[in-house]
Amino acid sequence: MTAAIAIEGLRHVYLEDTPQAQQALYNASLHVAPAEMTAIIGPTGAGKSTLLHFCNGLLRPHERGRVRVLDQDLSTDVDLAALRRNVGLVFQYPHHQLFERFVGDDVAYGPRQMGLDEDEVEERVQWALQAVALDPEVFADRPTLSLSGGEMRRAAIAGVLATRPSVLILDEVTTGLDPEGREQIHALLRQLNEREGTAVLFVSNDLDEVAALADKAMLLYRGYTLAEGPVRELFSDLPLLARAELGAPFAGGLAAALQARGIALEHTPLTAAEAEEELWQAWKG
Amino acid sequence: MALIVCEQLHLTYGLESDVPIEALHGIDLTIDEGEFVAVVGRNGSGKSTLARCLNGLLRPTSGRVLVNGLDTALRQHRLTIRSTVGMVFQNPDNQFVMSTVREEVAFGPENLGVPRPELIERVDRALRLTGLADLPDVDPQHLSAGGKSRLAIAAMLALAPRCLVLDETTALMDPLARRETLALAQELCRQGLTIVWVTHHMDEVAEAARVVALDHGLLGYDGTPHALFADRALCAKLGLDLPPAAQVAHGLIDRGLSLDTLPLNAAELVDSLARAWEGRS
Amino acid sequence: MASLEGLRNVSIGRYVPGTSALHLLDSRVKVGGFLLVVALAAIVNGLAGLAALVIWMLILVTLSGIGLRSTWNSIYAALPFIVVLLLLQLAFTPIRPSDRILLAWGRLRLSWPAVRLVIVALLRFFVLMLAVSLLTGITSSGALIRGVEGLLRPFTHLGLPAHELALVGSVALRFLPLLGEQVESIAMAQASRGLADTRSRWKLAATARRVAQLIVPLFVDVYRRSEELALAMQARCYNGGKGRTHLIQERLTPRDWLALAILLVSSALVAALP
Repeated sequence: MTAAIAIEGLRHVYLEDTPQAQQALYNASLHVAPAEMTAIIGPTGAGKSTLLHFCNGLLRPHERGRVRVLDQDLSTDVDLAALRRNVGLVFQYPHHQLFERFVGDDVAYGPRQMGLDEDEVEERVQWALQAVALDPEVFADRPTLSLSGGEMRRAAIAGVLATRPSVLILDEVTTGLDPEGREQIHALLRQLNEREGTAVLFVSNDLDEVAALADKAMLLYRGYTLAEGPVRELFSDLPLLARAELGAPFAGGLAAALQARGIALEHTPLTAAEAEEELWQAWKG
Repeated sequence: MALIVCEQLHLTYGLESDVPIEALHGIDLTIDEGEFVAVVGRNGSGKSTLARCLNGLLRPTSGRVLVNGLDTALRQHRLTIRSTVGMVFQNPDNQFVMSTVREEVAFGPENLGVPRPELIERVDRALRLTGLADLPDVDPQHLSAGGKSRLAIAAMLALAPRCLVLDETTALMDPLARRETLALAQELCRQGLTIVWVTHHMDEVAEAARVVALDHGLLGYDGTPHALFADRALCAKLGLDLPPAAQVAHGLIDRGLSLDTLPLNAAELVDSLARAWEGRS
Repeated sequence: MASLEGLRNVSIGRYVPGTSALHLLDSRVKVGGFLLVVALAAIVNGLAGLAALVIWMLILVTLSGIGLRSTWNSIYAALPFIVVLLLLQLAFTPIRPSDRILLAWGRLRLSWPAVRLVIVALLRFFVLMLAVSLLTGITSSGALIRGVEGLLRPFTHLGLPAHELALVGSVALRFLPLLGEQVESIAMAQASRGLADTRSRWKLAATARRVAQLIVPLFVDVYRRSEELALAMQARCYNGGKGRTHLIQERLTPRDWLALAILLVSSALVAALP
């Protein structure tokens, strides 16, 4: 398999002259490699969520463009149910995605649909809840709507994980969480990516989050893909990020400001930890 | 001069139910006129509850809250208090009542019965201050993310408040809208308005003059952001991140590079590093 | 999948700012005209009269510039439900021996009175949907409140809370398009977990279960929204209609009188049609 997701030249304009037109795509491309962590970055209204909906067949290409997911062309007649088990999509508002009364049943929904026997369903539920750091003993019998915001997000992720997707897609799932909640989700994504080899695609408008997590990134602005590539490369182009109304990532902005004051770093740092290391080297050297 | 005073403020939800939830257990807090106070803490630590006590949307279970000397528990002060301490919520889409920008801003002062000439003046002023003067007839839903938050603020300004409480107003925003909103709040503060800024973003906390941290319904910290972020153990206990600049600075100090102050944002870090480099050569 | 996208497509209740002659009318005229059209749709029973009403509304929608296509889209979204209801009516309308039979197929017979009834209901549905779209399209919520309040003012002496009724109505209308978006988002979120094969939606049991699955999260959303809105209104010193002042004060202009005259004359004509 060359790419988990390959989208080329996608156009999707929906209800022109209404607020929805803000979420249109004009020329969007996206490539997600298996076992990599990829981020879509862009300001509000860039079309990020819309693009995600193409990745598991919720929207189908009908105007222009090609969408291939797990080596299937989505403009042809594909088995959507199977595709969606392999490509898990976690929405921004977790309660939209939880539909059984109890957390355990909700997480079990996907595996049951797959026709697994109850033992295996149970095993998957245990695994998925543990993966998102919700103790199955405590949470399996809790009503879904009684969870706190952060717990609900993790329960929604568990429900998607239970079908063991090879691609996991998340739409701004750390927005509005406190620092600890954010860090928990980051740790979960790293673990899935590194240990299970799951390809992770996530949407974020927090550049520092992207710098800390992603291998590759795609910059979407008003429906156009402006750039795509390794995060390090993309984030070295500060003028481009500024033009896309995203500001500068902390470390990159710091390096540029230091340069202007006559302090040169050998490599442009991507994260705060790297900035510290580079500064220490510069100080010593 | 003290504008808002909380004395042993307790708030419990669901007192009549079997499982009352105690959200605030005895907060003593004084907010002076003209201050910029950031309020931080974990999800569920009581930030929103405290915010809602400050303008009387919630009444204390015990203890009291005084706004400009008026007790928020007393019904007769309700409207005065709510127009003195304005409140902006997280999701602007859910707080708009009207379908044009101008009507939305007028809604508050109309409720207060402000006579028409003054009403028009207040609305125009609020629109001007928030940069919305050119968009009076636009549907609020059609505004950009930053525009929506400016409108929510304008709607409050038209009540002529002395304090604005912004309850995680930037939580759902992209970086540009966040910066825009913070800059507007800072500008309003310079003009004399008191700002209470509830947030999870540590880079925003670094911009405040004072931080109040809540920890399980108690006051966990009250002081300058510098002193807070200097104490890493305390930050961890309160569930707070360090702003990235402070993180780098702590790392460098640990390794033996001494900095004269603890920088909290990139600009301060650059200044402080430049001084260190100068001192060496 | 088109059906998932369609739900967001509801433009009813959405104000479309503009400067057409219709936009500029006094809000009382707009609301009064709306009520007149609704009353006509209810009273007029003739096919020609109702068809004339539909055409009349289509012309007004076009003149207003709120967009014929988006208006049609929102009507289209509600159409399946109406069609099902009408088919049921068709099946259960009793047939009298004297009725003209249009079609007989086995035990199934279609009589002219039954078909006529369905056509009348369909035309009324179109008139109502067009009228609501038009009213909300050309009337901002503030104006809507003023209009309803203005018309109800004579009844306030009888204890009618005119302002509160107007406000509640206008806020409810504003929530409608948001509701459509919400349902779409929920349906998508659930579909991506393998729920909701849209092809099975005509099977009754599946449909019922599906609706229940959509309703719970929708209810949570609506509850949250209304709670937040209520808090936001309280924070902005909302205290009922008493003692409120108004930013905009309207006076009837010659244009409004002209519009009223046209409205009354055309209504009389419609009512006179067979």
